[in-house]
Amino acid sequence: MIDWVAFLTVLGVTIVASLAIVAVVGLGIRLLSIPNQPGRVGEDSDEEDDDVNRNGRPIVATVFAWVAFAAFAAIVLFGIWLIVPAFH
Amino acid sequence: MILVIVLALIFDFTNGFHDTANAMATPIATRALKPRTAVALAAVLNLVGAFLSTHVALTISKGLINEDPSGGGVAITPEFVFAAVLAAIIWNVVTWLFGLPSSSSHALFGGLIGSALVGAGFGAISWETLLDKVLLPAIIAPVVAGLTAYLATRLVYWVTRRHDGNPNGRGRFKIAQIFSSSLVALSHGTNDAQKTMGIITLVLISAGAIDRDAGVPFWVVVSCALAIAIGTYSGGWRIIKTLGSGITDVKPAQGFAAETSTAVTILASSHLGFALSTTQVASGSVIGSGLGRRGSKVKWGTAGRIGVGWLLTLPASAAVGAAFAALVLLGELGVIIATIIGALSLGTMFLVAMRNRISADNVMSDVAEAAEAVSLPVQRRRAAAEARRAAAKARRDAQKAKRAEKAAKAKAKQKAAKKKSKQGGKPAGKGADKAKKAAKAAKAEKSDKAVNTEKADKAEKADKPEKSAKSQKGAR
Repeated sequence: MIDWVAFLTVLGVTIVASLAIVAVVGLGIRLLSIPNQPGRVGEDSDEEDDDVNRNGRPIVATVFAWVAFAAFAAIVLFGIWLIVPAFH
Repeated sequence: MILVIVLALIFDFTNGFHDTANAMATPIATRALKPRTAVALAAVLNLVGAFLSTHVALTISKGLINEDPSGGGVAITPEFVFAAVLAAIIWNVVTWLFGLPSSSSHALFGGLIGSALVGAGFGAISWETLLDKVLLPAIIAPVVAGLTAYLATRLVYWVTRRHDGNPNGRGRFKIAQIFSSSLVALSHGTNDAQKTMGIITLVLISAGAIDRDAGVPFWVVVSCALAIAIGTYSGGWRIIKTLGSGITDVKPAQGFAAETSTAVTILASSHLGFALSTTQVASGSVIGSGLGRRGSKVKWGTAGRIGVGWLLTLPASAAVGAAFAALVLLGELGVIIATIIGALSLGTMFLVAMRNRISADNVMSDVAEAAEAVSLPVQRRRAAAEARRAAAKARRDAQKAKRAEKAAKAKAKQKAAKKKSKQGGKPAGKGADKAKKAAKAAKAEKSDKAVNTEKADKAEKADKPEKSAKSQKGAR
C-alpha cells in the first residue's frame, strides 16, 4: 500500500515552510537594504554629524528587519522541536 | 560481528565524506564560508544532529528486510550485512572519485538488497516497503526539493527586487546562508548518521546481541555520530566542486533558497519516516534554484551525469553486494577474500584520486578570482567612501583657498589704491605690507590646496580598484 497522502503532505509542508522561511528572510534583507543613498555625509559646519543616520535607513525598517529575522529563528526552532522526539 | 560494526562505521565515515557537499557546497561556492570553516561547522552539526532523533534508524533496522523468521521472513546473518556494507563503501568511493553526488543511502540499500537476494532469496525483502519508502521517495524527493527551490528562488528575488536601481543588499544572504546550510548539516546528521545506526542495530539484532524490539543502544549512537562527523570534516572536495559550481553558478540568495528547500524537504520527509537521500534532495534543490534565477544556466550535461549516477547506484551496489554475499557464502575464507578485495580496490581508487587531487585549497579555484572581487567590496567601499569624503573636503578647501586668494588680492589692490590716492606719491608702506601678507597667506593656502589635490588624486586611485573589481564582477 503506497501512502500517497504522506507524499502529498511532504510536498505541501515543504513548499509552505520553505517559502515562509525564504519570504521572511528575504523581507528582512530587503528592509535592511532600504537606504536610498549610499550614506549622507554631514556638512563640515554640522557639529551634530553623529545624528545623521549613516545609512539613511529609517529605524522602523531596521526594527522590522529584525522582527523578520526573529520570525526566521522561530520557524527554525519550531522545526527542530518538531523533529526531536525527546521534546514531546 | 565486530568486523561488521567496524565496517559499518567506515561506511558512516564515507557517508559523511560523501555528503559534506550537500550542506556546504553552496556556501563554499558563494564564499559565504571558507572551505575549512564550512566542513568544521558541518561536522559539528552532524554530530549534534545524530543525537537528536533515532526515527529513521528504526525504519531501516525494522522495515526493509524481514528479519523475523516467524513471519515468513529470513534471518539475516552478520555476514550478509558485511557484504552489503562493503559494497556500499566501494560504491561511495567510486562515485566520489568521479565527483558524483550520488546517494550514500541508496548504495547502502542496494548493497543490502543484493546480499539479501543472494543470501536468503527473493522473500527476504519486503518489496512493498522498498517501493514505498525507498524507490518512490527517490524519485519524488528531488522533484519536491527542486520545485520548492525553484519557487523559493523566484520568491527571494521577487522580494528583494528594487525598482530604483539601488543596491539590493543581496550579498547579505551570505550570512543567511550560514544558517540555512547549518540546518542542512543538522538534518543530514538526523538522517544519514541514523542509517548506519540502523545497520549496526540490525547486525546486533541478527546476531542476537540485543532484543529485536529494543531501541538503538547509546554507544551505537555515539560512535556513529563521531564517525559521520569525522568523515564530514575530511570533506569530499570533489563532490563539493560538482555541486557548488558544476551544475549552476550559485549566488548567495539562490544558495539560501536552495539550502532552505533542502533542509525542509529532508526534515519533513524524514519526520514521516522516509529514508530518503539527502544527496538527491540537495542536487534537486540546486538544479531548481538554477532554473529559478533569471540569467543563470543549468549545465544539463553535469545534471545528466548525476542522474545516470543515481540510476546506477541501486543496481550497481546491489550487484556488488550480491557478489560479496556469494563470496561470503564460501565461509570464513570468503569473508577474508572479500575483505582483501575491498581493501585493494579502495587503495587503488585512493591512489588514482591522489594523482588529481582536489582539496580545500583548490576546490573553488576557478571562482576564487571572482569571489575575491565579491568579498572585498566591504573594505573597498569603506575606503572609497572615506576617499570620496576626503576628496570632497579637498575640493571645498581648494575653493575656499581660491576665494580667499582672490579676496586678499582684491583687498590689497583696493588698499594700495586708496593709500596711493590719499598720500599721493608716498610709497604705500603699510598697504604694501598688508598686501604682501595677504599674498603670503594666499600662497600658504595654495600649498595647502596642493596637498589636498594630492589627497584627492589618491582618493581617485583608491576608487579605481573598486571600479575594476566591479567590472570584473560584471564580466563574470
